[in-house]
Amino acid sequence: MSEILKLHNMLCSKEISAKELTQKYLSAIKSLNPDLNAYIKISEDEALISADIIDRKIAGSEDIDLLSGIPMTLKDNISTKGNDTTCCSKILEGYKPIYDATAWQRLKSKGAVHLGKTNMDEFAMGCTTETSVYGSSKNPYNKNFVAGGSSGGTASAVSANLAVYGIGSDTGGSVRQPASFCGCVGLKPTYGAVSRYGLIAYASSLDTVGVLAGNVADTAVVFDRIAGFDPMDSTSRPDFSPCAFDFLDKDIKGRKIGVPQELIDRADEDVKYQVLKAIKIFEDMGCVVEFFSMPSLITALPAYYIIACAEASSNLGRYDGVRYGLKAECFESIHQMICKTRSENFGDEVKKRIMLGTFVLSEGYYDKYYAKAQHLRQELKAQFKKVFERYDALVTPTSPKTAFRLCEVEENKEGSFNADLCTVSANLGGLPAVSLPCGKDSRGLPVGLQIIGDKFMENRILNLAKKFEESRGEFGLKDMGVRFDV
Amino acid sequence: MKIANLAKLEIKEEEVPFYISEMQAMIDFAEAVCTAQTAESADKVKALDFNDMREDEVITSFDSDEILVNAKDYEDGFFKLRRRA
Repeated sequence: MSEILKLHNMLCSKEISAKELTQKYLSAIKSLNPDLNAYIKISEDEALISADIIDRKIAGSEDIDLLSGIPMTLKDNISTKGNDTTCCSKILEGYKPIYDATAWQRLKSKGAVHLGKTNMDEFAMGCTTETSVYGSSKNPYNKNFVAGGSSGGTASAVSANLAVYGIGSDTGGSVRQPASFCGCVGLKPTYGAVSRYGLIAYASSLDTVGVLAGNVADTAVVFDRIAGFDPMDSTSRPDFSPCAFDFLDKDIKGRKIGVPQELIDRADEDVKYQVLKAIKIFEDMGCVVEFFSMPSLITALPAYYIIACAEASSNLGRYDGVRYGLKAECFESIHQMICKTRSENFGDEVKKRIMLGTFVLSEGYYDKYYAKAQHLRQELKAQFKKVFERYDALVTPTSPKTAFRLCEVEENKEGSFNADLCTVSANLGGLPAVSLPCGKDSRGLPVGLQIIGDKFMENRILNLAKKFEESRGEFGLKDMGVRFDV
Repeated sequence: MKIANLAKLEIKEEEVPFYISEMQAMIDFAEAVCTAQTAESADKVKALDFNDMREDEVITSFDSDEILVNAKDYEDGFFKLRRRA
């Protein structure tokens, strides 16, 4: 059942006030966050003021939106006017944006209650939140494991019931992979469906603003409110009107689902077992399932790394100590000031990706790496076009593995590259994809199922996800944080 | 060191082995694109369409005082850098 709908009904019937609800969440955050490190900043005063406004509206019998008074969180790369937005990097310490991100502005206009900013890998570069300057977030299912990344703090908070939903960003899987690791739902929308205005850029042709929530219905409610044309983002699609919530209960009998064999073959046994079990559920619901081969999904991964790093090397060029962020104290020239500012305040992972991006764009290597990667991307997009003439959706694991142990990635670089194997293709193709829990591994850690759709087909993938969620039965968020049993 | 300089990063002598090893691992991983088969020649990439872009339009933007609020140094409505002789 939709948690948002349940809380909305409780607020409207005055069973609980928005202020009481917010206080419950703030108190749970204070008690659990020292262990989980999901939040890096709590906005107590702001949250209580927002809740008070909603309570006054309810007292005055005004109509309120489904999201009014509902406590939520934002990843630390979503700009919030006048409030610290650091991308969990030292270089942006003290940076206060002068405008709100469109996604946040739209939620704010609906009366959303912002509890605070959640942890992430520095500039969204990582898959564990271990590159965050604030240290890593922990997985609520087992605190010896990571929450995933880069939106790991948001996933940890949603999974531990320290927020009803969260807004994250997904460049190569950064919403879906942590959602998968933490047993919640994560939606990466079509490129152009949700405005990127105010999302601090990592790789602009791949970046999307996404939603993390406890169930599919809540994900759809939030998506419908943040999506739609925004003149402030030149890549925002003018003719897209989201209505995912209305499509959730459509009959899915006869829907054609393609399963790329390559991604099943590369998953760990526990993941493969749960995903194949999930595929059987789709068959039982009357879907037509077909396994097929798409080798370009495998070469997509190195192509993604090349393109993402190339774009990052350009996007992060803006951090020069002049316009915002920290600035080196001692220097002898402007060039040295810029170099020192960046070297002293970027973390290792960010420096490595900037240098890789600079390398693949440099003379003598551009054609070999960058041009070839772009070519592979175009071929992948053409193949997706053909694939979606045959299938309504693709079903894959979200990640070939379940959550890593803390520090495991540091010891196994290859494993960290492959963590994004199943997710990057949707970013390269600009396609929508949702991850939702489909079972647990032998250690009790959640396994994520990914459903990928054709462009602007969020309605369809969320409809399939909702039907799967109903057939799968209750997965349940962790029994911690704020819970209301109706 | 040349790449670090191009990337406007200062790498200390003692950090060089670490970055060389880390970068090499990333380059080795990225190398798979070089052997990947493509249907057409890679030079056609220059003509590829990436995104649907709208026309540029001049609209009202932020006041310069607002823009400067996050800068460490500014003067008379401008970002301030060290004066050069």
